[in-house]
Amino acid sequence: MNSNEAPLRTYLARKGWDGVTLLVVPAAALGIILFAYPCVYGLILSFTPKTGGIFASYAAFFKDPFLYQTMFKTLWIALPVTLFNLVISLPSALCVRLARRQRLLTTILVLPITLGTVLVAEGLLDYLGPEGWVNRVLLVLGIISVPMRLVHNYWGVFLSLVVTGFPFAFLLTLSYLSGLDRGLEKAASTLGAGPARRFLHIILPLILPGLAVTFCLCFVDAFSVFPSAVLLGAPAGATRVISIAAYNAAFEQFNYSLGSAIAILMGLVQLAIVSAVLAARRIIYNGPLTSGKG
Amino acid sequence: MTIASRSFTELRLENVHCAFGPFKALDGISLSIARGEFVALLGPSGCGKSTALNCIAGLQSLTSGRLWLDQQRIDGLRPEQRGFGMVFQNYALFPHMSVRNNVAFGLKMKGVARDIAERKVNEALALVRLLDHKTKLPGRLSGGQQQRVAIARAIVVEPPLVLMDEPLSNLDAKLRLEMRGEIRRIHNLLGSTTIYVTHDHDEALSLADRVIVLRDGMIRQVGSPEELYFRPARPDVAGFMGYRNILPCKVLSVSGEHARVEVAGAVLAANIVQYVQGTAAVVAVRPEDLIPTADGAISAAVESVEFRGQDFYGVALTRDKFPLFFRSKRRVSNGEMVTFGAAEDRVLLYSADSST
Repeated sequence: MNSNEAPLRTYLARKGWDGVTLLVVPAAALGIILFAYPCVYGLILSFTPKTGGIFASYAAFFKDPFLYQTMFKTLWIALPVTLFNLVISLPSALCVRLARRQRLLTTILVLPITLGTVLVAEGLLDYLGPEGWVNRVLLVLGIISVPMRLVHNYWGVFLSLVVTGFPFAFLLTLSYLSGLDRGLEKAASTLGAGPARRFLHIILPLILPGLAVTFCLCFVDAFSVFPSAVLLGAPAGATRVISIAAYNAAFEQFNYSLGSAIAILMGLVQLAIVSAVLAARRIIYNGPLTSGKG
Repeated sequence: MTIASRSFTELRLENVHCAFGPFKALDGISLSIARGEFVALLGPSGCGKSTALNCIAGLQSLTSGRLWLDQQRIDGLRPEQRGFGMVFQNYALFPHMSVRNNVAFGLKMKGVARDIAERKVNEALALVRLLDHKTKLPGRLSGGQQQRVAIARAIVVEPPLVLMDEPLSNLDAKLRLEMRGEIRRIHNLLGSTTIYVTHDHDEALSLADRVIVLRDGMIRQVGSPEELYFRPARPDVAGFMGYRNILPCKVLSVSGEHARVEVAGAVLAANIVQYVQGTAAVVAVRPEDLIPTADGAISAAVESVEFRGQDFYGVALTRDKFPLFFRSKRRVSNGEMVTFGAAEDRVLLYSADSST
């Protein structure tokens, strides 16, 4: 019996299958049940509308400006927010990297991640509202004479996405920066490069691949915004994002096929942007961050 | 305010202190280095030699003290203003730039015209024999090649001072010997001033015009390689310079530079380096000067022997279990009783507490 068993086992082991492979099973099963199956189900659903041909749901989306404009509205929120988060997380990460109380600072900056989006939205509703602290302080300081409208419009959603998205962008950027060999900057400085040129010639090119990945993750997160677009935005107007359209179609008009089609299109837009960024990333240097063998 | 010219007469460290919290990495270093010199900072790890180099480069600020380049005080200048070339232990090559761009970086920062920069890069790469690898990324080079790129990058800007921080410690033994020769060759060829940090006394002795031995952030001895090799000033320096046998002894008589001492039950003639009469004394002897002879004075039992090509290296225990490191031309066997002798000028006498 042993003589038969051993060769099979070695054969499987050579192909990369052994006892450890079994550890993947729970994750793979969950992946299939929770992602692959709904995804395929949704895809099929989107091609089986109640009336019309197989592309009828997609056609309905692109025919109705109220529907297809949600895509641009979402991009109009998600792209600027993602860029903004990236641009402000880079200098903060550069500072924190050098700070002595890095732990404390990081904890404070990351705190918003632990708050749910709904909690943040509710909080911001008060804080940014006409009676909120921001407006009151600005009024008292005489910077404005009438309370600014910061909620139930574009800026409400924008700010809430900054609050929830920034820590994420910051953490990722910080981890990429910490991976940089400090010796490279020292070397650059002995070669005559001041802080600005060290950043431009050494730090930026080396963390650019990391920033690209950070951009993708943050973008995907911002593009699928839902709660804050409803709570802090104008869900019928400027911030009628694509996820609201999908929700409406599926759960208010009970047109599951249209809902699925919108969800699929949403995924395709995300995929397109992410692929574009990752393709651009391949052109720039993305090798190891140190060259030495030390 | 920057240092423009490579011509200076001397670099002076004036009572330089550098502390990290309670730890004093440099505890009052005063030193002057002349143009064209090759100076080695030698010491065990943690002695402050790298800190000293970083202080000179401007990568580490002084706690107190001054740095002078001739009449110009430079300790307030940032590294980019000092413009000293530096070669790092892990090379610190820019991984995203080709060999060419790595070497050209300093020239670009100085705003050197493109065609002149290109010519200088080619010259520097030719000097380190790497012209063929110009377009490669550093990650594709071997350790020795990376090391040479690092040297080319540091010297291409013709810095007044080249600082090297254990540049050979990541290379294998054979390459290390080769690169040692290269570094000295480049130094001579360019007539540059080099400060070289190392923990390897062989390296320091073979490369430098002058060796500065550091310990605990203080200078223990400054001297030519010959002085350090033949006459280390203190027992701790001797220990570091390859005098592995530092034996307590009793001084029997002193006359001028010479003394008779009793070591391990035997009487030896010794040369006095630094001895205050009446204090506890030690003698320092190199393993290669402790020669097994038939009529030797010190007898000891061989503990272990290893063969290293030219000689046998061994350890023997004296009667009071004190280990003696020795070399032998003939094979001795474990447990064998051997008697050792040593020439008078190779036995150095010190006061035991002169190490503090």
